[in-house]
Amino acid sequence: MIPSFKKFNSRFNFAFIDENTKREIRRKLLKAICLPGYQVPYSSPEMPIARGWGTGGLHVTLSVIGKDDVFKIIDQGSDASVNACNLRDFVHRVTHCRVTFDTHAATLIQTRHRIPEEQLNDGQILVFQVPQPEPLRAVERYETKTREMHGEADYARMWVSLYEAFVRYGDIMQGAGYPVMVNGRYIMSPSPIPRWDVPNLHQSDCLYLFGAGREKRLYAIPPHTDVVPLEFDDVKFRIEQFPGIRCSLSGTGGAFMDELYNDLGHFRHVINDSDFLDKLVEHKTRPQQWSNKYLQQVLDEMNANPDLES
Amino acid sequence: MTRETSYDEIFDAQAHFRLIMDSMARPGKLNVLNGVSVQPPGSLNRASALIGLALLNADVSFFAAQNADAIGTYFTANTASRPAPAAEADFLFLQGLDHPQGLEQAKSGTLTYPDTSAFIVIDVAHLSLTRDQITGPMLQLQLSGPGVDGQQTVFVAGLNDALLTTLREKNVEYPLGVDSILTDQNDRILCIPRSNRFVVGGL
Amino acid sequence: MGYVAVKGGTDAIANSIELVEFYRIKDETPPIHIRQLQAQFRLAIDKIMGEGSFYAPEYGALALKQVEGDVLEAAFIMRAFRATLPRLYYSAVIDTRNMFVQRRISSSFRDIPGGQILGPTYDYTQRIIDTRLADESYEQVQAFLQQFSARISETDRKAITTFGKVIDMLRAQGLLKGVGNRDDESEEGRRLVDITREAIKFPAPRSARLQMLARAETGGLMALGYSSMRGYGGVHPTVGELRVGLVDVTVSDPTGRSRYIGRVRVTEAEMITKAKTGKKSERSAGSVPYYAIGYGLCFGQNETKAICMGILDRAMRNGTKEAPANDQEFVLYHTDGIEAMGFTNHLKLPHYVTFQSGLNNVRRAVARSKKQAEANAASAPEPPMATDATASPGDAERMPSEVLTEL
Repeated sequence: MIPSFKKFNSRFNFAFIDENTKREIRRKLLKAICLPGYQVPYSSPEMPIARGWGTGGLHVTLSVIGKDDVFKIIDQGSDASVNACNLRDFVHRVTHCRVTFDTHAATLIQTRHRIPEEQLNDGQILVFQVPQPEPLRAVERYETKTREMHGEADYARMWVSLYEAFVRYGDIMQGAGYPVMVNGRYIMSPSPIPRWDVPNLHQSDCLYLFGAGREKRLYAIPPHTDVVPLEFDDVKFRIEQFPGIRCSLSGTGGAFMDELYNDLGHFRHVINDSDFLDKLVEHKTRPQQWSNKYLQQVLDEMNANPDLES
Repeated sequence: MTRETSYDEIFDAQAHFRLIMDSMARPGKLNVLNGVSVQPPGSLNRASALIGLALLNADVSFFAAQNADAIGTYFTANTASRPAPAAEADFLFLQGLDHPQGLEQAKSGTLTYPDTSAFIVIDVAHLSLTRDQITGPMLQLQLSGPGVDGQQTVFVAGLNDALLTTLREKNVEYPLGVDSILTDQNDRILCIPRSNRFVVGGL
Repeated sequence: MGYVAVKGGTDAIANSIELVEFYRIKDETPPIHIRQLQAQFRLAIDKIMGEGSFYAPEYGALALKQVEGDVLEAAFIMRAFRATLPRLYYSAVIDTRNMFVQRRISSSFRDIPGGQILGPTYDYTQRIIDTRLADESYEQVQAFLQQFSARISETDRKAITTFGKVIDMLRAQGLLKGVGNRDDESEEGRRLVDITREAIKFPAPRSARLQMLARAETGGLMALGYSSMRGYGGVHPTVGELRVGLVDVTVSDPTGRSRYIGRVRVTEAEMITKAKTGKKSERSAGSVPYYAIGYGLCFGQNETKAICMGILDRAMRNGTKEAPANDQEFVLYHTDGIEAMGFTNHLKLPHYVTFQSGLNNVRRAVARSKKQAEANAASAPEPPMATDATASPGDAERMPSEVLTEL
């Protein structure tokens, strides 16, 4: 007979993270808010979720969450994605907080790669999972140097890189994760959200918090802060275009679309934001969207051609 | 030395942090830190004590301008944080009517790591969004910058003008600077992050 | 319940987890007891404890069982678990001169004070697959152990003491100098950081570098250490001393008294390399060459790791980034197995929003260049000059790549 071990310890704290680390993350989130767009280094302890799968988002979520919060999490715009399901289950398991799919009902929303289509209000916090917090990494691989560049607000190489893309391809080719200037001081990566979402970072009512776990950085955009996508006088930032395209489930447009392919290789479009689509289809209501000039233009065009079908 | 037994280091700390964060993200928004009866030593507003209890731990240090021994013992016993000179401390607890001496020395970070700067917690007598709530001498603060939709006016009693002047000088070379939280005797807090500008008028 | 099948994701996860469990035990063999794993998979558990940075063999065995033997996955579970434990104390500095030595060799000298002690090593086992183990019985195990212990003399065993260090001899002769790097001599360089409590900043103090190496993935360290020896950087060291054994760990209690809390097995490597004699200007006539060491220490018996740590410790002090192994950021950011594995596997997460955003750009660029090509064909027979970079036909065939990283 092999003797058994007496006991194994597997208790954990409310919201999983120990109180010391929570305090550290909280202090650094405050610093991040005081320095909009600046990346604050933090300890980023391991989580029982793999690096690159939302550990930074979880650090932020679990450090700010309280018993009365209503938690929502989306991945690529969907409440249903396996990773969103997994993280929702984890957060619920360690906090017993209420969870929801309803964007409006949530007080705390964690997201990977999207801002909900429905406008967020001043009682809400949106937490972004960030894979690469450093917007300058593509033009400078060394952290020591990018730190200096941010310190000196020396962004010449970033501008040159955008301009080179324009010269070569006739446009700024950056897709998701379009770099923005925050509060006129720091260039920041908005995380790989589509350009469609980027204008909603500007002068919002809600608070945006960003967590990059593997890279061990936190940053923030407070409400009512200027957030401007990088552009030139003659080459402008533009959002993704879905000209004349309607969602095959709701019949409407004016929202970021997914392309779905069937077995025959045919494709159709469906609105990406699962909760927004639910409300359109099930409740026959169009939730209040963000107001920004890019979206307004899309909606104006859509309303001018109401009969267009995809 | 008071060991705070009624303070819940998990849930009170979380609730108060959320209010501090809300005020920091929305300068000019006054939040009230209440719900716990704590017995801080003299020269430490209850809300200031609660800020300390929510944010201090063994990884950081603090400086108290007045009643330093009692406040030092209080925070060390309750948070395992340690006292440090003003020039090294991560948190400075100041009195609104004090000389700005400790504030002058406070860490304001470096260009590459501006976050390695101090938080300044200042005890004042009264904070209000309307002037008729305050009697006696007061200052009118007009805040603008990130977190503020246009401009926000706050009235403060029990705050030395020189302290604000020093605060403004500390924050001239943004992103270097310090981030302040004012607390009053009714547990209200007001945050002034370094990203914000403010204009002062005496009344 | 929403329109999109939210339940679908949850169900899929539940089913997947059930399948994992099924595959782990489907053949109905007797469950492996973790005591057996701890006893017979010693080196795997040493690796798990090292990379998991958590010295707890029984937890290592449990983790190994839980993940069907994937050492890196087990190390990940250990790291995640250790992160839930409070940091109560920092141990006192351990002097490995006081190690209870189980194995100790030096390749720099034929003989060393105290002698070379080969100890347990696979180095000379001849890697021929041992078919006898296929039917190893408990009786055979007992027979071997009885015969083995009969040969051990109690008096010899008690006579084992501690051993002085090879590097002490070199140091006494003035041939070995300090780590000799300006960054490391500064106040920041000498600061003892705790990399589990703060994010590393560059240039990183040596204490942070060694801590990161101690938690790094063995294979990653080996690839970079090997690259340096083979020619990318040119650290070709000698094993000054490699020792494996047990060391006592003590902490100070609140009254300041030293308390013994247990013993850990560690592998320590002191790699000797010839050092440059400073900058060119200082290397003028009369300058004296000397040796410098590269240091490696990790949990358990993991000699490959300790040696590569030593090589990289030395390489990163080279002061130039001409080789990957010399480059602090390159070495330290990319050898953490837990981080590298997580990020590699995150590619399996859906990226369709990100992809759509890029697709939108590429389609527009292709359309633009088509239109331009048509316009050119209509207006002039000659193709435009290659310098017309905005829309040369050559560009139309090339997929526009993203300017910046998108993850």
